[in-house]
Amino acid sequence: MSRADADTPRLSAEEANGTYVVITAFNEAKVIRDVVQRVLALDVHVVVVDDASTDGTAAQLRGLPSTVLRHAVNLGQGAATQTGVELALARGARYLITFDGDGQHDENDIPRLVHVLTREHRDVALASRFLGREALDMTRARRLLLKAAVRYMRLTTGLRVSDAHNGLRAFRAEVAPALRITQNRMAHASELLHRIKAAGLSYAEIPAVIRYTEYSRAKGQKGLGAIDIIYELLMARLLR
Amino acid sequence: MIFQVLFTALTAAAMFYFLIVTRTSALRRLFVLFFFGAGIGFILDPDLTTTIANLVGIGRGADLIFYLSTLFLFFLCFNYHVRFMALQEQLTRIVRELAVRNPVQEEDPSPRR
Repeated sequence: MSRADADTPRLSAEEANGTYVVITAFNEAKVIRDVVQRVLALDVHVVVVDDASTDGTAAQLRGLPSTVLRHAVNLGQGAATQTGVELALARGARYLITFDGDGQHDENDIPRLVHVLTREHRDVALASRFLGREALDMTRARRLLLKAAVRYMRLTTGLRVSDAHNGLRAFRAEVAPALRITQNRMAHASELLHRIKAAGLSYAEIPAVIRYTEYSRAKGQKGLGAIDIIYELLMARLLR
Repeated sequence: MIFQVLFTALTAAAMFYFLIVTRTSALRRLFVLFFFGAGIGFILDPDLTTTIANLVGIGRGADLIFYLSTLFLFFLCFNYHVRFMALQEQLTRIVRELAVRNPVQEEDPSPRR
């Protein structure tokens, strides 16, 4: 499954030991064990947050050297991410990675993200689907939708990002309080960009490939999800 | 006539309920007094609404009541939405706290300490 090649960067032992990968999962029993094992191969810490799955997702991880948390009720990906981040911080994490439990992300991007923090000294590293390497099997409709979302986010945050809604990113533990997620559901990705802007954090993007498989497409956001995200953000702004 | 007696009684009962049974702030009780007092006034003398409506540039008293009711309901919805969001935030905190306190599984299977 892994697409590691000769020039895939590696983490130093010190970097790997400070890295906590927060993997959120909702009904991912079929793939979660494979995803976690691939990430564990990097010798990083893994925190899996099972967002009240009903298919026994958490049980799939038995025996793997990873911390597994479980939400008593389903709260959404944003909330699950924040839960994992808080545990990781309590365990002494220095670099935090957010990673999707459905296998769409490539674990080999994790060292690249961490290097942006440790070697380029940025606060935040974002993975972009629109920098050089192309996403595998992205549908035309999805591409248009994501491009429109990027334009909207550039307009409202002023950040010159090339991808606004990728779930794969990294940030330093010191800036975690500034990036606290309050949007429980999908609007958390946009919220993150607003917070980067508001706190004046430094960031950089790295090219990343997303695997759009039949599995991830069936599980993922429907195109109309964008309308939900905009609604969630508008309400959050009105009520702030 | 029967409508006026019935509705005056109902409105008065509701007013007393809010004023005496529920313990709310003085400001809110003042508002309730004004709101229900006006209601009773309008029931007893429906032409009063038309007089007030004309004062603010609305033709009929019934329209004035309709607009005010709509506004009030909108305000109520907003109020409940805000409360709902606050409740959701509390729920999130509880669920997160529970999850962090009781991991299903630990990274290091050997007991800490």
